[in-house]
Amino acid sequence: MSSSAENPTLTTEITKPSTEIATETAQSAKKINLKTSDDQIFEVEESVAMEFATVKSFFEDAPSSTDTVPLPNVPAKPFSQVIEFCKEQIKFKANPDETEKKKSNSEFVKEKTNEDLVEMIPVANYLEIKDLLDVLNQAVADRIQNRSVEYVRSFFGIDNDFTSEEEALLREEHAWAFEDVDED
Amino acid sequence: MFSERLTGEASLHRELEALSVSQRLVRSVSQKLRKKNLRGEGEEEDDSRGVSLKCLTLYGMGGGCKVGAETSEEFGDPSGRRRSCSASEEGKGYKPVCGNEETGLHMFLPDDILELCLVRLPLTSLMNARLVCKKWRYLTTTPRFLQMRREGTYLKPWLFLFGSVKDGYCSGDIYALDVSQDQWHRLDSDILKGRFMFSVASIQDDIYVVGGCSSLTHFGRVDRSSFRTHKGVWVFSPVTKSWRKTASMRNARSMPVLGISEVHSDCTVVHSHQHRQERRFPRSRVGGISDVYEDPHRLSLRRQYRKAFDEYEPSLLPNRKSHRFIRQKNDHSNTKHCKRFVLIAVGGLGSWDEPLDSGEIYDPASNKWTEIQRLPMDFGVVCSGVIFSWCEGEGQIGQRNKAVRKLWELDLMYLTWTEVSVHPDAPMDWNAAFVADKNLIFGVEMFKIFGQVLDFLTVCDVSNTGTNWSHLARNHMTHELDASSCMTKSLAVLHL
Repeated sequence: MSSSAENPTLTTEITKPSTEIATETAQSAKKINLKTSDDQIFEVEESVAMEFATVKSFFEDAPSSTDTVPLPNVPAKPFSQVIEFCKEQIKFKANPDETEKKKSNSEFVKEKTNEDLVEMIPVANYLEIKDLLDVLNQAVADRIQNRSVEYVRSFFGIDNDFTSEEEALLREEHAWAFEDVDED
Repeated sequence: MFSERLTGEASLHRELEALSVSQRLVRSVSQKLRKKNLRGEGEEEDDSRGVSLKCLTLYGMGGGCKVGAETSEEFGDPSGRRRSCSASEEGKGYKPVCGNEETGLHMFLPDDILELCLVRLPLTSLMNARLVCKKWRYLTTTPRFLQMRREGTYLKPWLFLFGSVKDGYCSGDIYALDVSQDQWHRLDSDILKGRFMFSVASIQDDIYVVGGCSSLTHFGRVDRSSFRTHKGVWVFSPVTKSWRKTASMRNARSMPVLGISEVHSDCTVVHSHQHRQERRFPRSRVGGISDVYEDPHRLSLRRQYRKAFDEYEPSLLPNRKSHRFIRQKNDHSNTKHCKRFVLIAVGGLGSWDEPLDSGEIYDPASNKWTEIQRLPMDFGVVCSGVIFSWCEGEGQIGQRNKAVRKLWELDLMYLTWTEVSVHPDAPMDWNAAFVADKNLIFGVEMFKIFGQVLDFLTVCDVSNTGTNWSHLARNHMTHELDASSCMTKSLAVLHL
């Protein structure tokens, strides 16, 4: 809470120039309004919005329909990060460079918390952004790879519903696979 | 993300500097600004927030209404909204707000999406995941999940080293190297105790252990004086660490040459012995293969994994329909839900240690072995290496034969052999085992030196133009084994 209330005056004082900049760019390319589940409206460049297969087909089905597309399954917070990713991706579309793309993707996920990643996955899935979904799924898989069962449980907030006997039995069965787990 | 932030800031810096705003402020606002660009100016339309927008835009000093509106939301709105704005800017610093989600996080991922995540785990981590909870165990063991995992690129090669002899006994231990993690695992198996000189071949997730010998008088020992040769075939599934017995071969064999062929699911192998044809072998191979080793007889019995049949099928059996399908692998794998493979066992040593020239095919669907035509009389010296095929360019099939020290390539168009690569190490193990796996050839050499049995695993990627061998596995796994393991060892590769 406190962190969000950072220096209101300071921020607003310099909003004026920034707004102008934003308006300028807004005029240069066609924008699409996307409304998230928590009623935030994101104005997104058309090229970015077309990265979302769901949005794209929405426009293909009804080309001249509303100017605001509702995204009922998409909360704002992960969505803003998804947009960030897609903007980055578009650069690589014009100028494909696999190594740079990989690097950019790994930078993208590196900065995200576990929660961020997990929250973005359903959004990417709903919007059918395959690249992002791949990146996110791989990132989550990487984060739970070679970790203890306990770590994975706490990562996903899952309660163990095996009885201790069941778990012991299963561990015995798979014993050979459980050497050298990374430290939690 | 980082780079975008950089470029975003850079441009902002320029523009804002022109307005003589201090760098410090620029930094503090640039993220907000970036958000704003993403978020857009659509807020005015949002009735529900009309009040807060209006009153807080006062901060915006005239022209700044939009960003002012943006920031104002953070103060005027319920906590859920605030979280969504601020947390995305400063992901890590918001534990208190995010904390309550921590426990319900798994609810957040529907099963089908969770599967997409778990399917990417390497085998050991996947087995770990199966212990997380019952739902995960179920999700990660459904046939659909396993098939997804197979069809993706998530499977990693594992080398399985069989035939270890310890303290004089065939211990049955299997050493598995997870190549991608460079990690050895040891699996014990009662079934292989006492067996030696068997051959192994892998089909999908399973390893077929075919034939072999066991001592009649000294149980468990590698005994070449009184032993029994087996017809039996066992299937080992490393994922479940389980064994099952399949139909026995028609003939007892030790160290048969094994090959795997992919077939149509509607194909039958029964009629494969009907076509008898003059075999036209590319005879040049004989000279090329055994230039290091003196004992062609033994070489002839060495393993030839994976598509052993490919070698002679195209050149000599042009109208043998039952095996032609190998060629159309790619066309059909998509339409068929499950791939089918047949296992071919050729040659080996019979019950009296006599070299066999017979061959048979095992079809897992019917669980039957069918005899195939005998090898031609001059077959004695073939099969020293590994044969496999792959598609090149316009569907031309190439084949490569891994001679023990030199890698030879058989061009099927012209039936000529060319040397592709030379193994860099000095040959230390006359019984080196090689196994081909897609574009890779794995080799293991074991020998005893200074009282220890050492194993050297090497791999060669033949898909590159410069085919080089490189070493795998930093650690030796076989210290405590007996020297006779060098002779009894065999190798299989699985993608798990």
